[in-house]
Amino acid sequence: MAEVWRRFTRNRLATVGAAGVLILVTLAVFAPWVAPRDPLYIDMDHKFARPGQAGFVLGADELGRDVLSRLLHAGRVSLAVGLITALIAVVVGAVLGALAGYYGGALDAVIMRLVDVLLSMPTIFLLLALAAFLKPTMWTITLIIGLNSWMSVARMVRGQVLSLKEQEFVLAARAAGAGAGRLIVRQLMPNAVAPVLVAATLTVATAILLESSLSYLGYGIQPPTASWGNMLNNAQSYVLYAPWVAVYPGAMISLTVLSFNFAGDGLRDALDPRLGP
Amino acid sequence: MALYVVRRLLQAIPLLVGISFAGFVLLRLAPGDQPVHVQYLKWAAGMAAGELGYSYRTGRPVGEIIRERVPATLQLMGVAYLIAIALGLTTGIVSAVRRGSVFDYAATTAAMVGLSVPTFWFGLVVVIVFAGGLRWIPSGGIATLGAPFSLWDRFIHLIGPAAVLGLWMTATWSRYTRSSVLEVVGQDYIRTARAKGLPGRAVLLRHTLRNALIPLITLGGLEFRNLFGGALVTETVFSWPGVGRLYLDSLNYQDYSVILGLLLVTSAMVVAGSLLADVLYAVADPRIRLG
Repeated sequence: MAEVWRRFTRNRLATVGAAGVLILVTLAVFAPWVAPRDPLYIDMDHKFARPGQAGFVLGADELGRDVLSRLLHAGRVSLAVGLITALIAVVVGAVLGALAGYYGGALDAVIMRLVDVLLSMPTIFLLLALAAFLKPTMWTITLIIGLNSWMSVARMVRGQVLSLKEQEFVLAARAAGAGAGRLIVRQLMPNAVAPVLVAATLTVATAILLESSLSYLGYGIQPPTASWGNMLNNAQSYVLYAPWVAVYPGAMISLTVLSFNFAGDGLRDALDPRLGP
Repeated sequence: MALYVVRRLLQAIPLLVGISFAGFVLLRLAPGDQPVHVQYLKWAAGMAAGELGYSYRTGRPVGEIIRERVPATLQLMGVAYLIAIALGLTTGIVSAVRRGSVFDYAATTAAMVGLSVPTFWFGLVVVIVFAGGLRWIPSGGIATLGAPFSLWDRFIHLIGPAAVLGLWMTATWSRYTRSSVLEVVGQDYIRTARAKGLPGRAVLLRHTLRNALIPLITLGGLEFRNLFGGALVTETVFSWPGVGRLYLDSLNYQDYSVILGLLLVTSAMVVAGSLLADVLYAVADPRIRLG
């Protein structure tokens, strides 16, 4: 563990990424106290106020709402969606992957064909259809992104279980009378923790990107609640004369996703130097 | 070889059945009408005959509506793909060969940034800078409205969205190429080639790249799926009249037969893409088809 920590902190980009994640999460948690204004307060007198004008640090949007305050509050939504999605992906992926790997046979075939089907449909197309079908709220969006993100975790865990289930320590535990559940949870899963942790970190990044794309297209988080993606929702029409309204939310998405990607990559290198690029 | 292709084709059938069933349950299932499998089989029989149904909104055949939009999307995806492969392979190879250099560091960081920036935002920034500020390109569309056809006009409209989509994909290609080359460089046969006294260029071209580029064929197939998603978003930013825009418009009008048709057509293209990649891989690497 100390070795992992040492390798992680010696990787400059990984440290920057982890620090970025920490700062962004802190800002999101304390958003109501840090934000200078009410993110929903409409002030038509200051519609499209430039950054710095009339106390709007990062300017105002088409309804005169404070861009900075909206960015901070939107961060709560976007980060929550990303983190919960990763949790769903890991739980669903680990359970299905372990079942497929451990039991094999028909169960394995059904689960893996489901993985193949989901991996053959263009993600955004499928997510849009689901979002249009369900009522898009923060929870449904999180759920549908999560249920479309577990496949790589499942494949990984399945592979791990397959390669380990005939090993002596597992056979010994089985001979000692351990049941399937106990074998999977106590003997097999601990060996998959490292790659799953890396996958979870990288899934947060992908999920934030997917949520922002859906919200940008109008099928994600619905206004007036701000998410970084839906702040760009109407940007198309005024992007040329009020670019700040579009530029800042996108920069926040990029910074956040980059932080998670750097941290995830660094974590992979630190946990297993052989996995690295 | 023929046997391998046939086997791979047969494997694609349950996949297509699964995809169409998922799409059908999602979009076309009429509640309480008939049992699910009866409804599906009726509909699938029509599908198998190439009958995609009619648009709820316009009454026109779905196949015809989709066919009109496919060329624009293929044009955008094709040019973007060329940009991504050319740029991604070059930077990936140089990065790997000069591992640890300033170039390597800059290229890997740039690739990570490329993977982290949302496509729609990158597109909007390109519009702000190159259409708004510099006025080099139009802010959207496939051609100037009402103007007679001109190759230059089409090119100037295409370059923005193709560059956005292409650069986004370049990041993935560059990362995969780099790690694939590095993996081959570490192999014994490369050390042997060097030990025999072969010049560095010959080792790189004849031994390293030949082996390192084969696994990238798989990426070419896998990326097809992301390409459609990226194209949908890019088409929205640049008002490009392709299948992505059609999909969004159909969602807005709840035109379910067109939505389902597009979902099936794009998925079938993804499956075809990975099938093609597998076959090409088997051509390039005999171990696969014989193994």
